[in-house]
Amino acid sequence: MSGALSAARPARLLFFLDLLLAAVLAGCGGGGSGDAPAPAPAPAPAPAPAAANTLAITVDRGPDGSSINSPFVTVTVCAPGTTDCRTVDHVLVDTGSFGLRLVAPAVNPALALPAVTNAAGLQVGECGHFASGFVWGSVRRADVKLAGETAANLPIQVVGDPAAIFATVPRGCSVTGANFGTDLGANGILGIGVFDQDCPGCANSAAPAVYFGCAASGCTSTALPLASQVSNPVRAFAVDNNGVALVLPPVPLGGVESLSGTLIFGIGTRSNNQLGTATVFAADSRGEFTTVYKGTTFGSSFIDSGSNGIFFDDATIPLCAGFFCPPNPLALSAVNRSATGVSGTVNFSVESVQSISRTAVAANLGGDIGQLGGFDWGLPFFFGRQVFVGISGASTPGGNGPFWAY
Amino acid sequence: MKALVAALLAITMNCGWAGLGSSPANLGPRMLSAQNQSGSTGLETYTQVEKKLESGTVVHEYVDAGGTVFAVSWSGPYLPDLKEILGTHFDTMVAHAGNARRGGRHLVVNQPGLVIVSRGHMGAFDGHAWLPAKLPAGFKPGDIK
Repeated sequence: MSGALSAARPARLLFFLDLLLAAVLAGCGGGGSGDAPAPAPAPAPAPAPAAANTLAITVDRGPDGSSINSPFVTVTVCAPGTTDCRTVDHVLVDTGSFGLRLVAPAVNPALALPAVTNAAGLQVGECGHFASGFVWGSVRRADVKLAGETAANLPIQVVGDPAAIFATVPRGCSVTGANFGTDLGANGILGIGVFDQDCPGCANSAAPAVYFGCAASGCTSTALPLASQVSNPVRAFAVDNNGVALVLPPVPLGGVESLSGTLIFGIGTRSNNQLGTATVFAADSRGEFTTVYKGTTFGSSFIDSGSNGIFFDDATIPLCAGFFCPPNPLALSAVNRSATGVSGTVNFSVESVQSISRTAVAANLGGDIGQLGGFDWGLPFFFGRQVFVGISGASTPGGNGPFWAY
Repeated sequence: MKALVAALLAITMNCGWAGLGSSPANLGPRMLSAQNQSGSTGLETYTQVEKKLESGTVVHEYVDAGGTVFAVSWSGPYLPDLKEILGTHFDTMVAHAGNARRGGRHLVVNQPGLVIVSRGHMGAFDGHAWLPAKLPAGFKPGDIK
């Protein structure tokens, strides 16, 4: 297992640092010249009048120039019930989380968004959990507008909220991992996965330490009713609210320097979001299914547009700082199987992180998930597919969510 | 001054740090139950401690005959107090999070003396960590639940 790790790692690390350095340099330019890889395809002249339920996805290097395999959309947030709105670009489309999180500096000038309060009347802060760290900020209500759809008065997280009351990360949050601060490689995260709220266990208990009641003296973990929690905006739409579909074109070996796709709201609610021949894979209570790869069965697999590679455990593939770097591109296959026994083969390819163009925005990359196994089907899984995300409890022509379909 | 440093060191070593490489973690009042189960590799014995948290997350600790935690794991909907569970190794995990900030879905530390894996997504997290040099004879990482 560990033998493959060491040799290639330094080279990849340097490459990675190069990328970071390039990103930093590009970022210092202040958005003037040279920070767009290739003449940016103007997002405005959409092919035909865009439907009210479609939002353009752009895969590019992100706000700091260092992203790869990161699908971004533009969202509009408004003070509830007003026309005082801000448009925020480069919000990461994430099928692995639930709810909208925006970094405070991107909502500029700041909007007057009302704070969500807990039963004790305290303003609520949130510790958004991710496997390698957390995002800390306030919970506030906003009208969230995505294409022609609106989630009115929806609780969202404002990451890095400058209000003094949220200045100190409470211990119950900081002990879960690294603090990402507002350095997300995106201006926000649009969580549109298979669940609605991000902390069902908080409805009656403060134990998850996800929500905190904040006062001048500090923040302590709190219970918070579901209706006050940061929630999947799609579920709050008046229509097209049972799920989404992501559509991205195929990406050839070597990677591409620009990539556009579509985020479609609703499943089977309009002519543009029919399931068609897609196979429905029911998800379990964790939002997961099983993957069989090279004869080994892995539980805990999920489909995650917020992961920038397909991550799994295969000690035979060389690693370069976490990403695979096989000498030649690999044609691989696995079988996904739902809890209800539906299964299907997935053919996918993995090429070396060192063989792609330095200005690529998307490529068939994979990486090591560690010995716990499971498959994290990240963005390359979406290349050349239409992937549906059925939200838990919502009714669709393919049955009730939670499910994945493709 | 020397005495003060020595005293501070003693405090740090005796009660400041629990977790991996030291004594079992104190997970506080949010712990619902802790159950010990003895295990054996055939060569050495150890104790497996299962701690169920009110959040729904379950933590396992593997403790050698001398009382030192040599491996840990966690699984559940919410991240537990990893600073307490990983002890002094928490800082290593935090230091390795940088590369994972995009998506942040997984973190792998694979050093000769320390392995940490944290994976998952909102609502479903799993992780484990162990000290290769401190595993009892015959204990395999695959033995960690």
